[in-house]
Amino acid sequence: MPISLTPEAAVFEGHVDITDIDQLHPWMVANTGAVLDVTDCTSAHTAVVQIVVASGMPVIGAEDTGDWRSVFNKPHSVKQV
Amino acid sequence: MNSLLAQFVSECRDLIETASRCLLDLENDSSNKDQIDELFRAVHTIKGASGLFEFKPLTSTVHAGEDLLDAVRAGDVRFNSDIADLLLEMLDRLVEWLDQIDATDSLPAGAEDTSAELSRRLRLQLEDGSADEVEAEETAEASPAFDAWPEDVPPLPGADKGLTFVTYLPSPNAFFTGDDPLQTVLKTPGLMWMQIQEPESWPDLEALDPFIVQIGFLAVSDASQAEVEEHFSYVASEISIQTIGLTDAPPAEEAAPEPDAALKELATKLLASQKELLASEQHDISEHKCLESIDQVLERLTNALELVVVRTKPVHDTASLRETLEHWIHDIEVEMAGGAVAVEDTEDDEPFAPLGEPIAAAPEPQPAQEDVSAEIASPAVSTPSPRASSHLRVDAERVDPLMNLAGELIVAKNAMPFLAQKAEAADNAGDLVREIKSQHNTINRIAEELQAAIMQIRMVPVGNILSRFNRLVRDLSRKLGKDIQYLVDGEDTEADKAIVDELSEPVVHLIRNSIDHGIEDPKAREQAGKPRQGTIRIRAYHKEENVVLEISDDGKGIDVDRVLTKAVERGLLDQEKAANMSRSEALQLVFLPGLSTKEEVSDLSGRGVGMDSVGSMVRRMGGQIGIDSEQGFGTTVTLSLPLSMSVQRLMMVEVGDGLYSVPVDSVVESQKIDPAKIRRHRNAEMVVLRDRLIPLVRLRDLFECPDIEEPQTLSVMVVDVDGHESGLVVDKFHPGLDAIVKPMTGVLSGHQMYAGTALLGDGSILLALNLREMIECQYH
Repeated sequence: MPISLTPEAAVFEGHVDITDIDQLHPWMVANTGAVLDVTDCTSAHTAVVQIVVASGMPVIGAEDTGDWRSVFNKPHSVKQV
Repeated sequence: MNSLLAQFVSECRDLIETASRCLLDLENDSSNKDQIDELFRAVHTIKGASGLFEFKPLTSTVHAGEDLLDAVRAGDVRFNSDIADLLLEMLDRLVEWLDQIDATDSLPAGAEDTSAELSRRLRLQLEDGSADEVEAEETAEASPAFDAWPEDVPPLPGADKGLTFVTYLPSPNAFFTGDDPLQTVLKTPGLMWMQIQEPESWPDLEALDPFIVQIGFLAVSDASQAEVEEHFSYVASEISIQTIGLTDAPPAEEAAPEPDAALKELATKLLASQKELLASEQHDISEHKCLESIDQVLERLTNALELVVVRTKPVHDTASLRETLEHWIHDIEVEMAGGAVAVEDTEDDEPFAPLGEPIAAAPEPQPAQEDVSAEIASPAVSTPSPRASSHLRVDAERVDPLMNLAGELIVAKNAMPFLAQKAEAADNAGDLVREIKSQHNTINRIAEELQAAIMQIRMVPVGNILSRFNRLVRDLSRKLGKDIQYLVDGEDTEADKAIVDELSEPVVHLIRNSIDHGIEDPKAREQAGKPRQGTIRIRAYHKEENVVLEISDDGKGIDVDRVLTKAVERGLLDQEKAANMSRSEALQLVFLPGLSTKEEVSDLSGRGVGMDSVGSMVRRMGGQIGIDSEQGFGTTVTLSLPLSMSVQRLMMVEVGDGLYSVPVDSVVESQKIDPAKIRRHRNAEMVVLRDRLIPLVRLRDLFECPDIEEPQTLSVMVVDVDGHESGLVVDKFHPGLDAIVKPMTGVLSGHQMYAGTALLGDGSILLALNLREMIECQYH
């Protein structure tokens, strides 16, 4: 299971696929004050990234990675040079 | 062909017309920024629309043209005649491709090669133009051929040499086709930077449909444009690619692209994808849910672009929502194109009021009946929009059946008098007769109104075709080394679409003749004391029930003596006749088959078939042609055509046991004359009517009817053909009637004596006489 959900946080691990939205979306609606941890996330489907960006929920583990996970945080960009 | 593709083809043709006109205008005034902008918009719209279909060569070609124009617009490349030639060539290819799409729904074989070659040459202009500028500005390190560096993109290594910039707006239903756009972007070859583009605002998380793509992507790569294009080839219609560059010096404000250009680009893409989604069938998700998503996207788009376009009422059922969204997309497109779509106050704030600021400056609602076309075009708005609703685009195929219906109604109307006659013959049928006559009056009124209404729908400005000849004049005059300007007066003069369409061919012949025979080369003109630049002017106007076109040039005019000599040489008339001809009559000889005074046959004209066929074409349309010319000063050809080729007012005559008709317009008068007053000269008969000598044509003789005893009075119908009056001797006059004359078809089509046939109310056929042929036949 690539997502572990608690009332405080959702922890992404490995690849998070579009099918995981079915669990993630209602959890986000119910836990607007929670955080998302992408430290151990290796990749995520566009739909997952989109809902995270749309939610505006704080994301941890993406800052200073310099890799694709930078898209989770504003300005949602990745610089690979 | 599906309706979307048909609409694409139709709109592209209009846009190509616009682009051609702008290009030709720019050749005269290359600094006209409005023309450059209009040209750019037209090409840009073609490119955007083509992305909806699998016509990649077309899209690529137009994309190259758009890039070139963008550079011209930004002042990076100077517009010149080479660029004009190339862009006109591009438009010509587009027309060819559209013709093929029209016929087969696909591009012709070899389109890819043509596109590659043309795109290469267009981009070469971009480099050539920019190189000039680099030299001029002594900024060797910067390359003005690059598009401006987008604000959102941070400085990147290699920016001075140009990097590939991609804007990717995935289709909203991309997830349902298995796409993962983010992964596609992340795998871009040579990716240096990418960013997610959020919509202007997000709905509440609970209301968010996570399976509809609402984000876009920007990416910069140091790979070549071709490599990047290849990578995105599966989503080619959803991306746009530019080469961007960064110079040390900040770009001049004037040279910078419009600040909202990128947004408009994005919006155009977004709109295209919404349209695609609307047009697609929904299987995997609820249709209504999908439409609601489109609704939200359009709302954000409207706000982002600060457009004054709103929905008027909340819609809850799927069908209405779909219809409303289609109108909304249309209105946004119109607004983005520069038109103004009017609004009316929303009845509810939710769920259709914009999310951001309230709508400002909404015009006052106007009564809907002020512009019926606006209401037809968009039921959601009531005030006419200057661009969207001033013209109602009507598919000619939809109007044609109406025309046929009007014809049938008139046939039905014509049946009524016959019924009345029959009823009159019956006993005690007075009431019935009165009723039938009353009904006839009613049908007559309806038929006339219906005809008038349909006529109005079919009326189009003659400028629609006349504006196209600008290009013809430009190309042919260049080919012959002449300098000719082309002017049109009265382009708004309207005529039936069929007439306007038919006009094209004769006018082309006349313009070719003017360029080839009429207007001298600049040196000869100078020697003759004329301006170096010649002029071809077309003047269009209404005269009575006709549309008149005067095609004049200020060339060397026609040498009447030479025309007469040629006519005699070729046996078209004898020396005696030639000697007695007036100047006006001699000029008419140019319409005879096989007469050309041009010694050298060129590929433009000079074969002597042009003017003859012009005359035939005009007469086939029921029109008349005249010519006036003064040697050394120019020539004017006047075409006079009926406003419509549909219902005609005819006079019926009886000859032998047949009924024939002539157009009322040609009839001067009808007379009963005493046979004793007929004068004879050789084999010709004539009569004097009010001091005019009228030659007579006995139709009984012409139709080889059996001889009968000469009546005490002769029925003579005087007709005017090309300004000459003739008296047709018939057996009996009949009342006039309205009828649709249709051309002869099949084995009868070659019968020159008849202009066509019309159906009478009793089911019998009425033959329409071709007066000109008939009278010529009498004399020859």
